[in-house]
Formats: sequence, C-alpha cells, structure tokens
Amino acid sequence: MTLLRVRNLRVSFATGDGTVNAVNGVDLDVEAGQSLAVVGESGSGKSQLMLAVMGLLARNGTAAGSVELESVELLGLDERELNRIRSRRIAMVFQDPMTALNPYLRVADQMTEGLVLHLGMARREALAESVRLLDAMEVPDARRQIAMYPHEFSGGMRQRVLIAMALSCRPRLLIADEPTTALDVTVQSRIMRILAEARAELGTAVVLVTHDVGIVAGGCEHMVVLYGGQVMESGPVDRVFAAPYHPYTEGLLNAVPRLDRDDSRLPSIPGDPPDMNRPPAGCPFAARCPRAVDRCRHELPGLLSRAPDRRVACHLPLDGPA
Amino acid sequence: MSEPLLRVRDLSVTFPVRGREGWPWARPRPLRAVRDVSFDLAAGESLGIVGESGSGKTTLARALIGTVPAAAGEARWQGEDLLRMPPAARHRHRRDIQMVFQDPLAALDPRMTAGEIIAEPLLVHEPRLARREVRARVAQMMERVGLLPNQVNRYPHEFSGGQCQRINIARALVVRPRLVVCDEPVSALDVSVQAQVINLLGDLGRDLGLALIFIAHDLAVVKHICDRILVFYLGRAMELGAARDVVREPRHPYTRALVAAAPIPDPAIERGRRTAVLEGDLPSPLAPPSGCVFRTRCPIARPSCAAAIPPMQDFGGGHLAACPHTGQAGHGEAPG
Repeated sequence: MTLLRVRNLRVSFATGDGTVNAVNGVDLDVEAGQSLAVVGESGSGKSQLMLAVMGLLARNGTAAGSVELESVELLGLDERELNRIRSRRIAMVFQDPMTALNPYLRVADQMTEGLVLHLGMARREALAESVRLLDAMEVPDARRQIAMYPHEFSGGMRQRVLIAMALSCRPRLLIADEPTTALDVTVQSRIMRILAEARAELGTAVVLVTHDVGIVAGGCEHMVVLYGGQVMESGPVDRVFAAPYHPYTEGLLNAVPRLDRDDSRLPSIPGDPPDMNRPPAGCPFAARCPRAVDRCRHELPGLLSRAPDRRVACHLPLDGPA
Repeated sequence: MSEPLLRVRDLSVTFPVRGREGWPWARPRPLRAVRDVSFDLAAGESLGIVGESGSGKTTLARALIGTVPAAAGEARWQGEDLLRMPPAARHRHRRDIQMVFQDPLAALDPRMTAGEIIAEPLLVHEPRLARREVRARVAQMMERVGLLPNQVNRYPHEFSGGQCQRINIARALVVRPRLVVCDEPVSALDVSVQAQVINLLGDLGRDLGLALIFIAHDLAVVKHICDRILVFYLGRAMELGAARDVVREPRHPYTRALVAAAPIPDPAIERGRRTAVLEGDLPSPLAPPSGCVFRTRCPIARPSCAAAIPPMQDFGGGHLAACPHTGQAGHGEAPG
C-alpha cells in the first residue's frame, strides 16, 4: 500500500525579491517499509519538499497540490490535527544535530515529552522507554547520559538522540533530512546502520534526503533525483546507478570522487545550479546539459515512464536498457 | 639530497584552555592540538591532510601560515626557520605561502568587488606595481580560474558558492606563491561544483608548479588531488605515504577504518561491503589516552599500546605508519 502519496506539490515563498518557487510540481510515492532517497544539490528543493510534507514550512511559504498519508490529505489540516499525525505517523530528523535540541532542557525531558503527549505514558514509564531507545541507538551508559543537557553530547551522539526521539512513537514514516552531513565519516556509517536497523525492526519507511550519492548506494532501495524543484529521474537505486536515464543523474554520479577509482580528472558538470528567483523557462538543467537542444530551453519535459518502475523528465534521455 | 620546500619537524601547537569543571581562576590546562608532527614537502608537490573534526588539521595549517604560534618543533621554509622569524621576514614569506579557506563567502569582504578582492594582495606585496599592470594581472588571474571579465565589478553576494571559491583561489594565486594551503576548500560546495574546483586546483598546481597542502575530511577528495596523504588523529600523525598506497594498502588501523567508512557510490560494491564500524567517539583532546592516542577505539589494541607512543615505522617507499602491531596489509578493506 502506498504510505505517502505526493501529487503535483508546489512550494513557493513570498520574498522581498518576489515569489520564489522552490518546488515545482513534484510527484512522490513511498510504500510502507520502503527506503527512498531524495537526492539533490542545494537549491534543488529537497528540504522544502519534506518540510511541506511535514506542514513545517516557514511563515512566508505556501504549499499547493496534494500530500496524502495513508489516504488522509495533509495539506490544509490545522495545527491540532497535524500534531496528532506528526510523531505518531510521520516524524522527521533534521540536518543540524546541534540546533535541533532545546539547550535548556535535559535530554530526558525532551525525549519523554512525545511519549507522554502522544502515547499517554506515565512519566516514569516514558523515561524507561527512552533509556531503552537510547540503548538501541548504542548510546553508552544511557541511564546516566539521559539526565544530561544537549551541549554535553557530541554531534554523533546528539544525532542518535534525535533519531531515537523521532522513532519513539513508532511512526510509519521517518523523514531524515541530511542526517549525517554534519558528522564525520566513521560516525556517518554508524548512523546509517542504525537507520537501517530501525527500518528492519519497526517496519518504518525511511525517506533519506541527501546530496551524497555515496550513502544512497548503500542504504536505499529507491531514489528520486531533484533539480530546480523538479523530479528529473526516479527508480530503483541499483538500476539508476547502473544506467541513469537523465544527463543530470549521470553527471552527478560521475562527479563524485571515488576511493576505488584512479582517474585524476573528475568529470564535472559545468556551470552552477539555477537561480530559483529567476527559474529558466524549459528544462531547469538545460543550461548545463551537454545534450541540450533548442527544445530543452523552451519546453519543460514531462516526467514519463520509460521502463517498469522508472521515470525520467528529459526530451533526450540517455539510452539505458529498456 | 636537495632541501625540500617545507620541512616540518616535531611541530606542536598548544592552546591554554579552562576545562568545564574548573574555577574561573584555575590555572589553564594545555590543550595539545598538534603534537610532534613531521613531514617534508617538495616544490610542486601536493600533500593531503586527512582527519576528522577535532583532529588538529586546521590548527596545523594555521601554525604553518603563522596565525597561531607553535609551541615546539620547527618548520623550515627553504632552510629558513618560519616559526622564529622576525615579523619583517615573515611578511616577505607570506607572499610565498597563501591560503584558501573553507567557507567561500565568509572569506570575502562583502563590501569589495571581485576585482578589488583579487587585487588586494598585489597592492600589499607589490606596492610599486602600476595600476594598469594590477588590472592586467587581475584580469589574467580571473580568466585562469574561470571567471568572466564582466564579473570584475560584482560583489561577493552576486556569485554562487563555486564562483566565490574561484575568487578565493584567484586572490591566493595572484601574488604567484610557491605553496597554497587549502583548508577544506570544497566541503561547502555542491557535488557538481566541487568536481570543477577540484579539477581547477589540480590543473593550477600542475601548470604553475605550485605546492599544495590540502586539508579535508573526505579521503576520496584528497586522493584525487594529492600526491601524498598524511592521516591525522587527535593531533598526531597516524600514517603518511603516497596517496595510492595509503588508500589501497592502509597500514594504520585508523586509516583502515577511514577507508572502510567512506561510502562508494555503487550499489553493487556498497551492499557487498560489511565492515566493522569504529566504536566510541573521539576522546577529549584535553585528556588524550596515554601511549597510542587511537588505542581506545582500535580493533587491534593490546595492553602494551597504553605504555608508549608508537613511533612512525617505515613500510617501504616512504610509506610510514605509527602502529607496531599492524601486520601485512589486508586486515582492512582496500576497495578496488
């Protein structure tokens, strides 16, 4: 069953410089228990897309289209109704583990709040459950550490606290926005393993929002590539990596320096990502695309199915196995 | 043997800090950010310094450019002692050693145009240069780093992150230095733009015969651009060697862990990799472990590791590692 169904989602912000369209008609499906990577560079709209799903857009932002979670439309729900859905059905882990916790409150108080509020646990019960959760996240000496303040934790440890909090009410869907970007590689591989274990044990679907295609390769089944607020390509991770259809996907995969390759020159994508204050008329990638023709600069390609389970928005897709 | 461009021996940097528990008037304790680091850098060579946050890699760079004082050891620039040089001589050498910082926008004065920013080091180091000549050198440098002539009068906020980093690189190179120290120059950039800047630095290094010290947390980035790699952990050098050797046949258990943790963007390889993850977190640099600083997280640690600081051992071909217990390569996982 489709857990999350996003259709034609548009997010725009009213700013002093006029309207900025961050997300321009995105479709997204997340099946129950699935792991989906939303891949994009800065300005691709990946974070605003997820904040819109959570109902957490900044005050000057508006979302249009449809976001259905288990067949319930989320757009337009008021704060009280959203609060019943958030954390119990859908939860989010934010990028910066330094600022996502309240510095004035002990970790114990922040972790138990959701359990008491949403699951109706008694405080003592909630505290025991929180310690269990931290144990599962491999926080050493959780019983003692839970009484500490956030600043007494390292970055990797804080991110584990945030994941534990997000999972505490056993949500059906966990959105993790760049959960390892601020962390060192050795800590990153541990966080990714913890997320995979949580998915296996709780059956929680995970949406991993990231710019790092390296962690997508090891940790996700499906992927969606965003550029300029639009979906460029979507499909199973193995097949997209093996033979991308969109020139942007190909460029992105080739641009990553790899430990297992010796080519001294990286195939880079020329130019810079588009300025979303002045979005281009046609395909957002046309200005940087090696295959672009006139049509690409005027006419926006639709996201079309090209093989079972795979879609691409390109007038001249790369030849992959059909 | 000819004198290297830069010769660093037993360099240490210490900061006095007050611990969290101490009274305000308590005597500050020494935080040894960099301890006993030695390496040589030849003219035109690129050395990558890799380590996690808190490993002291940025402090080492700052000691070399003279913005933090070294506590002990020496750094010789073509035979001259950089660390104990009188300010006037030091000023002369600033021209030879330039730096590129991590945050491309924060490193640029928001009230100066790109042209003014790139010209500034020229005005400082070659004050007698004619204005026409300055303009020509700036234009030439802008072209070299891939900026357009019509961008000369634009302000930093009008540029993207990748373009700002190009301005930073142009500013560093305009005085024709011999060594450029780059502190995480691409970590703030998007992947597609990061590749452009990595290629640019590699080309410039080769074409201009520049020596590079390239500091980064990303081993794959460093391997792409550097001839040799120095691996740092808690202020100490763990391993030093040719980039290819360090990545393919890491000798130190810490380097092996770093190689194993670096994700490879290929599902077929990545799914087959099952690697031991490092346990625990980086210990406090205020109270580093005795003996080998890595022993508290090391998978092959034994009691003797606590007793003495392991010296760098030569494994042949200039490949050094500070671990007496590492056997032949192959304990860790060397991809490819």
